[in-house]
Amino acid sequence: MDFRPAHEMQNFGVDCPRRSLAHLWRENTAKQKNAPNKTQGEERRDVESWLAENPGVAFKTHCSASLAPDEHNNNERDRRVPDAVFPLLPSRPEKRVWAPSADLLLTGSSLLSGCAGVQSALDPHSEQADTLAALFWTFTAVLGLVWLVTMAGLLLALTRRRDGRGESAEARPAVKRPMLIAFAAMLASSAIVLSGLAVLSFGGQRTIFGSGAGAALTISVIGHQWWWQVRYEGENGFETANEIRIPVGSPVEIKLTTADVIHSFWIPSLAGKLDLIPGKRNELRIEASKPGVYRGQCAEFCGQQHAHMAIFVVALEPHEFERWRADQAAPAKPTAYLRKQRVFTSALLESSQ
Amino acid sequence: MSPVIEERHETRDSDLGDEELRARLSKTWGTTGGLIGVLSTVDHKVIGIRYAVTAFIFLLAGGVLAIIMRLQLARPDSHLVGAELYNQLFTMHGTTMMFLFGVPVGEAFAIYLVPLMVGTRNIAFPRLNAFSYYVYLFGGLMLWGGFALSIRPDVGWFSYVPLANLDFTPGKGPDYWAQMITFTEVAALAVSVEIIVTVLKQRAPGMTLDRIPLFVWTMLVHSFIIIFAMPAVMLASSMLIMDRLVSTQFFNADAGGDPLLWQHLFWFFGHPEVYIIFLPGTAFVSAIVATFSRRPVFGYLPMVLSLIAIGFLSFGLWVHHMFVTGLPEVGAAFFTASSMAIAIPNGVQIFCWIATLWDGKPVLKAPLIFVLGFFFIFVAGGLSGVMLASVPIDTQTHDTYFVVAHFHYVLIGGTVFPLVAAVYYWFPKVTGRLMDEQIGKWQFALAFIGFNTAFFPMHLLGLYGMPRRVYTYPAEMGWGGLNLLASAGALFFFASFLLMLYNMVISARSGPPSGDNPWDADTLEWATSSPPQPQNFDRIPFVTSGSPLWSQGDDTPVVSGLKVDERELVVTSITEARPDIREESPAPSIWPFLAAFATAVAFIGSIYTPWAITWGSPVVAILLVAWFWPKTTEENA
Ligand code: HEM
Ligand SMILES: [Cu+2]
Ligand SMILES: [Cu+2]
Repeated sequence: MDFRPAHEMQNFGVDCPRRSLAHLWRENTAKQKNAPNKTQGEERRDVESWLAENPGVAFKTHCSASLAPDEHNNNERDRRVPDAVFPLLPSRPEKRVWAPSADLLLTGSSLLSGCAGVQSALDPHSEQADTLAALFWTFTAVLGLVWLVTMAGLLLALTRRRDGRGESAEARPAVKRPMLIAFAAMLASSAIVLSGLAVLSFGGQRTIFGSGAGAALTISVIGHQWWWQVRYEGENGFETANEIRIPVGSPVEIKLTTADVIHSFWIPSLAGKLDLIPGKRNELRIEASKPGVYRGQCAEFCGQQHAHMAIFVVALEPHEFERWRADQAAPAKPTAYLRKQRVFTSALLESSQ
Repeated sequence: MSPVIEERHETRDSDLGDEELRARLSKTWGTTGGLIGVLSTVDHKVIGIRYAVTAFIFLLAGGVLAIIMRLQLARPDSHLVGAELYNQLFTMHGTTMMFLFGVPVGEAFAIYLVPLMVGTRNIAFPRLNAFSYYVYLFGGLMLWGGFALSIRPDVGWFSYVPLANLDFTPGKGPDYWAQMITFTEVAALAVSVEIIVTVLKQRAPGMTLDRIPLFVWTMLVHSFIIIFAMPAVMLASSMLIMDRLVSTQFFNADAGGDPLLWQHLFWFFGHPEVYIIFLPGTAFVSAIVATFSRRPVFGYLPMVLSLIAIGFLSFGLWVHHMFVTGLPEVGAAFFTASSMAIAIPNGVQIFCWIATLWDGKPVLKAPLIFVLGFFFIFVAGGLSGVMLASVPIDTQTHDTYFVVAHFHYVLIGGTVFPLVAAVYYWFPKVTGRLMDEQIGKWQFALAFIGFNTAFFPMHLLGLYGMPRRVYTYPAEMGWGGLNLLASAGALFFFASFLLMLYNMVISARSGPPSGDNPWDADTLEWATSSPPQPQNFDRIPFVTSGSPLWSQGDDTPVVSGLKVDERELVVTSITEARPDIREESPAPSIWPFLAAFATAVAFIGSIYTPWAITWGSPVVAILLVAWFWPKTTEENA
């Protein structure tokens, strides 16, 4: 079986976090293309220059720990994956000079700044993700306090002064009043805290169970081992793979189905995840509040290359989105590349049997 | 016709002095040597230790797999192990930990300790007990033997369909996985029945319901949970094998089956499973907190009621594992509420233990120190569980490293830390020697720091978007630092177990003799010699208090009138523990081993052909007939 020939790869400096996103994105878009009328290079430059003009769109500039690849060794690829699947997998910078200390340092700073990276639930860019993050922080604060109180109680229990009591055991110690009071207080307060949290949680549920009415755009996402087929519905519909472009500020309806096993669609900065299950149609709404590129990744184990099933959502200003959409729809070419892909994917399955 | 039954003169325990009684009883109850003798034994202590040692070996094996995973994840884009092997590793790690370590290790302690704690001479149905051990052993050997022969399941410890269907996972891996479940479940169900009957019918006279040690109550609830939970997964795994072997279509959506049916069946077992693994941990904590606080656990009644509440509630939560499958809103809300509700009985337990420490005079020996580690870690894990119970939060954290962190906090904090405490605590009971305290403290430091370094960062990784079950991740994601930290912590944590192993080995050989009751504990297992004689008790104690060894002193009344040269024990009434009858306890027998062997062959064969069941069943049936062949003379005597 052939392996993919050396893969084109550009070098980036170490300083610019946006580039790491651009890098990942380019890798991903290199996997699948539905624009035979355009060269991939052009397409890439498009988004890259756009990213360059919009610093800090997808995530703040202080958030990333990327050390750019400076060497690329194609031989180290996973040899089990045949050639045809390679476009699906982000190519990886191999054998790069690895600097754990720098990594750790960056981790430390990102912890302090509460920042998260390219695919983070704590870096929300939509109303829904905002709500979820706020709910998360509320729970963390309340439950963190509960934990602290419990530990304080334990510490107190251990260090309390005991007026010269001996070590002999007592089979029937007197039940002391303070203990009963504390017991009652503990029961009451845990019931109150939990009910409070449950009510907050029910409130938060509204953002994920919102009605599907009024979506400006409907997109079908079909999960495959191990890539995402994206179909823009309606007349002049077209398909892309591993990438979804949406207009900023309007709700987009995503219909989730799968062609094979269960997958889970998850773009942390935009929305919580939802599974793609055979025989079931799930619907998810996303709405980006800011332009940017948001990465997501399949979140339900779906077989050998589950780790490489990434997807990008590119949120564009409405006019840019319309221009892109018109571009895509115009030639309405059949997706030769996709078909080829499917053939190879099933070939992979057979070869693994 | 009235046959004249000749009254043989039988020696009763009241006829003999202490020395002679002990010698005669230990001959009656002892295990004979030789291979046949070893395989025939029905002594609950011997079998309990075999269970414990086997489970401990599986813990180490699962730990080694975990270390390999952590080495792979320590740096981004790593190629130490490929995708295929990584997927096998986490599947084997999870499966081994849950089914071959987590469940059996709880059984091990129950089998060894419950009969001692309730003051009887052997577990109920001791031959079934022997059978269960061999079935468990063969199941574990099958899974790991298959692993060695490259028949490796690689679809995770919950084997979701359709990924686990033949279409997507050819080969025999998932079949071995599913059949291993059948083995462990048969074993666990058998042990549960034994424990329930032992607790309900073999308690020492006078041990009324409200004098049962909390440890024993916990194991009772634990056994009931097993009996209600396990059938669901046996059903599910059998359906999976049938889908794969004889093309039934239970889980195939195209043919009218439903992949979500698998998830419901699996998690209807899978959530209680968490409590099946965790409750023995609480049993250890109850025993240790009482002993080292020098008083019984505060709030006996609330503790018992909480246990029972946990038992019931644990069956009402399973859907929280399916929050992102697209549930209806009301359904989601219901399971959020029920999942949060279980925090209350858990909170009551935590409160009662801390109150006991507060009221008592804590003695900071190794067992108690590990229990303190349990509080620190388990409470954190329980609270992150409350977060996961919230559907909106779960949509962001489900199937990420946040969940991996959560369940290791619960499983390791809730089970493994108390387990280590239990090893330090009951080691003198089993060997008559104390373990080294100093090494124990070092082990604690290593385990505690290692554990938190390994698993706390995983919460953050999950929030930063790292899904679980990925064999690698791109450097650009920025997850490298935290993963490196986690891997370093994992190494320390693993090393702490090697230290414990070392401590056990040197202490068993040359630790200081412990005496019968080194901790001055209050429950009956300490009322006999350490290590106990085969008969457990020379004379069955009569219980007049919940803390017999603290309140009854040396003049404990005893029950007399049991035969000395036959295996006889006292059967008592369920609530009041009034002596009811004297009952013969089965003698050693090789049939359980042979039956287990035949069962194993049939089960393994059925992975390859359904005919194995057809041909295997009669063989097993014949062996069972031999096993139960009535011994008329003894019955009449
Ligand atoms: C040395 C200690 C341990 C380490 C370093 C460790 C590490 C890990 C890691 C890294 C994973 C995630 C794999 C992945 O999602 O890619 C994992 C999964 C898991 N671990 Fe552990 N673990 C340890 C001990 C335990 C123990 C004691 C238990 C249970 C009592 C346990 C139960 C599980 C389970 C059930 C899974 C899920 C497997 C799956 O996704 O199918 N682990 N462990
Ligand atoms: Cu996946
Ligand atoms: Cu659960």
